[in-house]
Amino acid sequence: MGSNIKLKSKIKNWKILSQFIELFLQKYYCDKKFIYEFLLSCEEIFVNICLYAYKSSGGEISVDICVLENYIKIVFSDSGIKFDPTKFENKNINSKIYDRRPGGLGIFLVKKFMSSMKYARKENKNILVMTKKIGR
Amino acid sequence: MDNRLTFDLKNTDSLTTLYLIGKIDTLGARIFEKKIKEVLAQDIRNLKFNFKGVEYLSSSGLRIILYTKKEMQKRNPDSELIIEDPQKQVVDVLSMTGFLDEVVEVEYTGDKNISG
Repeated sequence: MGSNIKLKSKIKNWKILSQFIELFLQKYYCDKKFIYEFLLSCEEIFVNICLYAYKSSGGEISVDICVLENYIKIVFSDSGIKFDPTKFENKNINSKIYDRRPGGLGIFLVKKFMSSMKYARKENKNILVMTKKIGR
Repeated sequence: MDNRLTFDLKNTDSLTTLYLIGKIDTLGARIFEKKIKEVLAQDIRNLKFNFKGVEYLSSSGLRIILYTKKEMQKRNPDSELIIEDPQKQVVDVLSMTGFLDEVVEVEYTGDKNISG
């Protein structure tokens, strides 16, 4: 059981994508905490693709979401320049907060909230697969 | 106009409280940034954010909180930024990212019947 949406890489499209994801998650009775953590993770990825993979050029982002046994799986694919958010590490999370690189915070949260996150570069596309386990 | 984040501002002699209602995602953060710049343009001494109505906060919102704290500290190095009545999932994010205690203090006004 899955669903797909294709969007232009514009930040304002987060509104459409977040509604699309939220509706899907609600169908599978995900609780408020699950939805919040899942949406936050997707937002970070979507924004990063818009800002880094496509930069000013712009392009299309395709999002597939499906339910798999006790997981929700979401796949982001884009034709932008190679961009691997899993490498976007925030090594200095323990350093003084004021000195931190702001960009790493979002990905740090994605890694905390999602059960898995895998990146691949295939046929000039960035493919990011994330899963989150349903239930506690 | 995007209505995902709305505000209410209350001023007393020494304290300014900004009530936020809605989502502070990447789109809400832009509205938040604009608003906070407006607020900081005034001669304020102490600032509180009331987050009772904030159901969603992402890293883009954290950036605005950090910006606000830095601006307040330029005026007074001892200034504190208080977040009043945040919902549970928002506190979790503040805590996980090290914002809690390091950047903001959390306070509850006694209204324990907070959803989340």
